[in-house]
This record gives sequence, C-alpha cells and structure tokens, in this order.
Amino acid sequence: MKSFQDIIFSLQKYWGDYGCAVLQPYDMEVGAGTFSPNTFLRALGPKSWKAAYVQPSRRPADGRYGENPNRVQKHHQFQVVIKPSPDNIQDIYLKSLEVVGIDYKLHDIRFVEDDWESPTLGAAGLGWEVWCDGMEVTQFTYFQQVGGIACSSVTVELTYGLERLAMFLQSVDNVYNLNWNGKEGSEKISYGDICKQQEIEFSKYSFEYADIEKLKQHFVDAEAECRELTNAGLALPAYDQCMKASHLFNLMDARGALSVAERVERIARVRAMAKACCEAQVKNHE
Amino acid sequence: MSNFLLELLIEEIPSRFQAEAASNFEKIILDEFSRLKIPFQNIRSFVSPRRLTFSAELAEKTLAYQEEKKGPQTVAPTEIIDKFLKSNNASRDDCIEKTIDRKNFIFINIYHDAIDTAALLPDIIKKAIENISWKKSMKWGNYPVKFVRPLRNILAVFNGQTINFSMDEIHIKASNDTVGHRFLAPAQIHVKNFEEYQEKLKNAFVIIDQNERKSIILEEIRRIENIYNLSVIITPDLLEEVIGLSEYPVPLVGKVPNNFMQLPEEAIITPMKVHQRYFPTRTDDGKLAPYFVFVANNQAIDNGKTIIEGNEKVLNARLADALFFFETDSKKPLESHLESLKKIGFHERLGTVFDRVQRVISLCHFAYDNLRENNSFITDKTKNLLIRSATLAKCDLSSGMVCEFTELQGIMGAHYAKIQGESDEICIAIREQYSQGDDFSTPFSALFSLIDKVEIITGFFAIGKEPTGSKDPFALRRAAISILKIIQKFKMRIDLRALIQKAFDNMTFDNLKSDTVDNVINFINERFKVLLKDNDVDYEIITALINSGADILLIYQKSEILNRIIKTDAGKRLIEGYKRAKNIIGDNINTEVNKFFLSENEETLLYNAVLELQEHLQYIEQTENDIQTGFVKELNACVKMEKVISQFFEKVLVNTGDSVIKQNRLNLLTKLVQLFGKVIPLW
Repeated sequence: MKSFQDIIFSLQKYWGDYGCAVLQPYDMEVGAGTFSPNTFLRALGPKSWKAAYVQPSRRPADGRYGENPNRVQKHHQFQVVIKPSPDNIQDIYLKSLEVVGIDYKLHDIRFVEDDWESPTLGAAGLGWEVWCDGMEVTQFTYFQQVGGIACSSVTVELTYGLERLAMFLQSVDNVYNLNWNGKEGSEKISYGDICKQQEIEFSKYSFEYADIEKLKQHFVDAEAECRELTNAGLALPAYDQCMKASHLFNLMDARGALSVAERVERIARVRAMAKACCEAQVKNHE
Repeated sequence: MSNFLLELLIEEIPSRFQAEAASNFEKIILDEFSRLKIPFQNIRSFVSPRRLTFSAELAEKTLAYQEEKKGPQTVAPTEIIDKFLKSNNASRDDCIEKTIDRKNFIFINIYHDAIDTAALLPDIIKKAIENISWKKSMKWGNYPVKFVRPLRNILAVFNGQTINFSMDEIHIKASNDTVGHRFLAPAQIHVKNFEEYQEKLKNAFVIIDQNERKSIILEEIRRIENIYNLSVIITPDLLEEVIGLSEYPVPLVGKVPNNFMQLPEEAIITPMKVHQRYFPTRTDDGKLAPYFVFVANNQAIDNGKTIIEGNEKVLNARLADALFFFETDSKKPLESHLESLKKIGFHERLGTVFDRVQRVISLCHFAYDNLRENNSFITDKTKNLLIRSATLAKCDLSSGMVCEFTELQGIMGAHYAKIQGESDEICIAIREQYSQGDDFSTPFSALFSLIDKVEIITGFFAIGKEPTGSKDPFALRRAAISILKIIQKFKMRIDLRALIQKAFDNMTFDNLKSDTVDNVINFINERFKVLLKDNDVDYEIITALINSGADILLIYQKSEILNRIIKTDAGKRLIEGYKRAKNIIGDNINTEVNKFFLSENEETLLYNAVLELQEHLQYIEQTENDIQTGFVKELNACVKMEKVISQFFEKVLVNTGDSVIKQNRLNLLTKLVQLFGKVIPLW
C-alpha cells in the first residue's frame, strides 16, 4: 500500500525522470493548480515547458468543518504541464498510474469527455476526466485559450486529485483516515492528524469569521496594485495580486457576501486582471 | 473489385460525436467515389471511442466517361473561342453547336480515360480527414490543424498495399498498422484488408462495429436480468453513450447498500445515470432494486471483482452525500429557503428567483379571479392552493440536494413538501411545474405550470430576449406550446391576454418593451397555427379562427368541428360555393332582395333557403346555451344549403345584361355570405 507521501514521491520521480522540472508549490493561496503561474503564465507563447508540482488548493466554499468524509476546503493536486503536448502523452500518462500502483489487469480505465473552462481566468481547454473504476482520478486537458489569448503551442495539463487517488489506492472511505507517512501503530501519521484541525478552523473562518468589509477592501487594493504593476510591465508580481483577488473573491462567495450581480461583476474584474497579466507576460517575452 | 480500408486512430472521441462523425466520414468518401467515377460496393463504416473505420470494395480502375463541356457562344470574339479550344486541347472541328434559349453555343465532347483508383485514394483520404465536421475541435502539440481530439495513426490499405499517403502537418504517414485494445492487447497489428482487420482486432479485444457492441451489451443485460430477476432500465441516450465509451464492453452488476434505498428513487437514479453512466434496475413489482448495471471496457483477470468494488464505492460516496443532503433538507421547512432565493439570480434584468416567486404569487391571485367563473375544476380552495404552491415551488433551488443534483429541481421540492404535510395537489404542482407538453396529472398542476410559463415568456419578451431563428436559449417556444396544450387537454377557459398583461404589469424593471403583450400574443398565436396545422386543420380555417380573436379553447373546439364537417364532400362543395359567392359579390354590401325580380326557379329556391337559414340561425342562437352544440347545429344548417347553392350557380347567370336583375342577384348572394360569415369566418 502506498502512503499519501509515497504517491507524491512516485509521481515526482516518474515525471522528473520524464524530464519535468519538479517544482515546489506556489507560495500563495490558489483555487487550483492551474492558477499557479507555473501553469497559467507558462502556457502562453511558443516556448516549451515541462513541470510537475504538488499544489495545495483552497476552495473555501467546500469547507465542511472536518465532518464530510469526501470534501475539504484545502486539497492537494498533483499538477503536470507539458508544452507542446507530446504525441504519446496518453501512454506516458497511463504509465504514471501504473507507477502509483494501478494494475490494468484489474481495473477499468476510461477517458470520458470533459471540457474545461475557467471564467475567472478566461481560459478553456478540451479533454477528459480519466476514470478508474468509475472514479475520476485525473483531469486531462489540452489548453486552447489562456487569458483570452489562443494558444499557439498547446500545453497539456494533467491534474491528479491526490486525496481521491490515495483513498482509492488505500481503499479508505474517509479522507481523514488516509495514511500519510506509511507507518503503522503509534508512528502512523494520518491525513486527519495533519489536516483535520485546519478544516475545522478554516471552515469557521470562511463561513463565520471572515470580515466582509476587509475582504472587499483587500480586493480593491489587490486590483489597484495589479493595475499599476501591469502598467509597469511587471507581469509576475501583477499576477500575484490577481491570484490574491481571486482567493478573496472565493472567500466572499463562501461567506455569502455577494449578491448575484456583484458576483458576476467581480468574476469579470478578476478576469480583466488575468487578461492584463497575460498581455504583460506575452509582451515581456516577445 | 479490391478492398479499400481506412482507419483513423484518435484519442478518445467524445461519445456524443461518434455517430454523426461516422456517417459524415462515410458520406465525404462516397461523394468522392461518385464524383471520380470509382465503382464501389459493400460499404462498411464503423466508429469506436478510438477509431473511425471505413471500408469498401472498389474497382481498380475508374469508369471511362464522356463529358459534354459548354463553351462560349458561336458569335463570341475569336480570341475567346480560341482560348476555350486551347484550354481543352481541341480544334474548332472537334466542336458541335447547340442552341440554348435561342442562342448558339459551342460544345466539346471530352473523353475521360479510365485511370487507376489507387492514384486517386490519397486525395480522397486527405479530403475525408480535412472535411469531416466536428461540433467541437481542438489543436494539440505545435501542429497547425484542428481535429476532435489528437489524431494518432492512419491505416490505409488498398488491394493489399499500403496507400502512399501522409499528413506532413502532423507528421503521420499512412501504414498498414493499427493497435488493439488499450490495455488488453496494445501491440501493433498489421493488416491487408478489411476481413483481416476485423478479425485481428476482435482477437485484440476491439469490437469495431458499434451495433455489435450494442448487441453484446443488450444480450449480457438480458442474462443479468434473468439471473437477478430484475428489469434493467435502459434509456436509449444512455445506451448510445455507453456503447461509445468502450471498445470491448463488459457489463457488470454492482450492489447498492440497503440504507440508501430510503432515498427518493430519483435521488438514486440521477447519480447512477447522469454522473456514473450506470443503468438502474427494478424488481418485478416496479420498485427500484438495489442493483445497478454498468459497462466496463476491460476483461479483468479477477472477472471484474475489483472493478465492481471500485464502482460501488464511488456510487456509495455520491449516495452518502445525497442522503446527508436529504436528511438535512428534510429537517428544514421549505419556506425557510425563501430568504436564500434572494441570492439566486433568475436573470440579470429580471431580478432574483425570490422576485420571480413574488410575481408568480401575484399572477396566481389574478388567474384565480380570471378563471373562477368559467372553469368547473376551480373551487374556493383553489386560490389558497395556488398561492401556497407558488410560495413553495422554487424553494428547493436552495436545498442541498438540488444544489448538488440540479436535475432534481421540482422533484425534491415535491418530496420535501410531502414530508412537511402539504396536500397532494400542492406536491403534484411542485413536481410537475417544469413539465412540458400536456404531461400533467391534474388540471390544478397544469394550471400552475401554465401560470409559471406565462410569467417566464412575458419576462423574457419584456427584456427583448425573444427567440430568434433557431436560437431559443430559454426554451420559450416549448413553453408556449405547453400552454396551448394545457388549455386544450384540460379544457380551460382563460383570457390569456389579460394574464399576460398582468404578468407584464407585475414587472417594475427599467427599459421594458412597451409592446410586450402584443408580441407575446402573436408569438403564442404563431405556435398555435403550427399546432393546429400538425393536427391537420385547414390553414385558412386556422387563420380565420385565430383572427376572430376567440379564446383558445373555443378555437380548438371550433377548428375540430369545422375540420370534420368541411372534409365531407358536402362540406367541400359548400366552401366552394361560399368562396364563389364571396368572389362574385366583390364589395357589394346591399342585402335587399326584391322577390319580384327573381326569375329563375333556382334563384327562388335559394332565396327561400336563405330566409329559412336566417330564421334557423336566430332560433339556434336564442335556444342553445352550449357553445359547441350550438356551433355544430349552425354549421349543419349551413351545410344543408350546399345543394341549393350548387344548383343556383349551375343554372343562374349573375352577370346578366339586365342591371336590375343582376343587382338583385348580387344582393341575394351578399345576404347569404353575411349569414355564413357569422358561422364560418373564413375571411
């Protein structure tokens, strides 16, 4: 049986051997691995790129105070991005599942159509969700558009949901029971030992304590700073502000602080930031 | 004849695109065969998640044929004629002349020799790949082409030989190779012709024929039904999708733990079908059974034990969520959700769902007053029932269950209403509010849905979002048709215009279109015309009835009766005579007939009959209370006139030289037309 960390090690080793730069998580709150500049901004332009990294991803609205066995406000994605997408990427990907312990003689793998679109990022792609015995284990996407800009060289993005994959591999029904370090008895450290208290406290924060007025002020500040930085041609720091605004938006949303119209309007504002960052990034690399 | 075989190996093609792609692919290729005069037979075209396959027996040479090519006119300047001759490599002596529309043209007979089919195939393949139309296509790698998903291999063989074809832009050269099942037999396979291809792929766990995969699935489902004593709920859409998700289908059975069976059955069926593509099952007594059938794409070495366990686990997690939501939702009164409806937008220009609920409540008050008198199914209780239904109808939109499974809107609301002890009428109305057509269990639930739909249509028309061309994103046409069908099926007497006016008055937004009410009425009338036409009602009758401004139910009833009577021979002759009389009188409106100027016998007979009809119609009007019965009687009275009218036109000349007699006859016909017009408003 593979521990949670073993799964990460195996994937890092596999994709590292393939030629990906194995990176550390981006050091900010993001909603998904796609948000990391190591995917999002790198998908722009013709320059080739190969990277793999774990990205803790925060979705405040998914918080369940640690009580739901399948849903958490912070989960871990293993993200692989390769540009241009290799011709045999499906085979390469399927080998990675073998490496983490999925035996194709016993399991049923399917590629089920699932096109991806992110309104806040102005990004879209075509691909599948990959099913293993009916469970989605990976999102497999060929990027077609990023920040409203059509991709000239296509990035393929593989996103493994680590909690789900680990629950599947360890045959565990409750995420908090996952074995994180692979030890047994008193030496065992479980997912719950590490994450449960976070889930409880952050759920309280997102749903009860987050200060709505302050969040709104932070959003405005981030937006203003993003604008100034894009004007100065500093795409990367500007994009940090965009990610910040996006997370603040998610918090406000979870807190129930947004009316329908406000919600639509704020999504548009984040998209405008993302677009400006992409344009600055493209300009810097011309 | 020699075999031509073409296979495109593609990364998984979305199931919903497969069938259309296969027929599109086939059509492009066959059109090319015909255009290039390649004789063909024994067409086979197949599609699987990973491949598009086409095969046919082709003649090795094209047909030689003669083409008659049209040139310039014989009187055209010499240089133009010379140019034509030169481009066709011909001399003036080779030409013939033909006359078209009284102009002389030069023609050349061109002889096309038979050529080798093999030489033409690369271009045909290229065309087929480039011209196949996908609903959605994508780019990959650094390649400049678009396709449904990345194209990975091309197998192209004719007469045992690999066709010399390559798509340089994606670095693929056609070969005689393909691969088997992704996991069960991934090795390369070499083939020479279709028979070998089909056979070798079958041995490599790929059933290329979608119909064969279908039979395999259905046969296995029958076997499972017998073993488990179940009936499997097969919906055609789901079956098609599942056929397109496997190359080697292996149906398997999973079990649902008993504690989930307490959920409403829709809450079990939806995650099974929509999220997991499983087939639900029923026991003999029609109850949902705790088993599901799904189709794997792998022949596992443990006979599917692991696969089944995995699928059960996934479904269990979804059902556990559903159960959690159901239990949490059930503890809250439905109306406690009203507050959260303020946060759910209906449309940016039409406010929130909460706003809409208030408008529907107001419309219910109005509809009750409007319908009360003329509809027997409406009683004193109806008003409160309508308002209660309107208050609760949208509350489930903020329940945990519907947020998770949006398809269950209305259905869950009905369950929660039942749990909190609402009456059956209300539960049914909530459940059926989104139903279409005339698919309603009670007149009450139909009325409630009708009110809701009038509100929706009026709202979208008011902000200028009416359907245009093929675009109808809010399904307003369907809603309008449902309104009409409800009125017909449940015999509702309703002043639709007043209801629409009220729905419009309820809206207090800026910049609403002032002609909304007329536009909605016209829109519904257009649907009504189509509907009546589908019911085989004569178009003239439809237009006349709708223009008469009668209420919808009356129009339905009259159109049915009219249609029936007019289709008889006597009816047809009557309409003929009626039309003829109408044409002859022109704009005459005088109806004074002088008895002494009636000279012909047939004219006197008609005169007497007209007087009799006048009296008869008056009598019916005074004595008959039921509109429908009255209408039938009136019509029959008119039809009786048919013979007299025919005889009149046979024997009597209206346009005689004597102007007094002519005017008298015109007046007689005018009187007749006016009487008819009251009954049959054809113009």
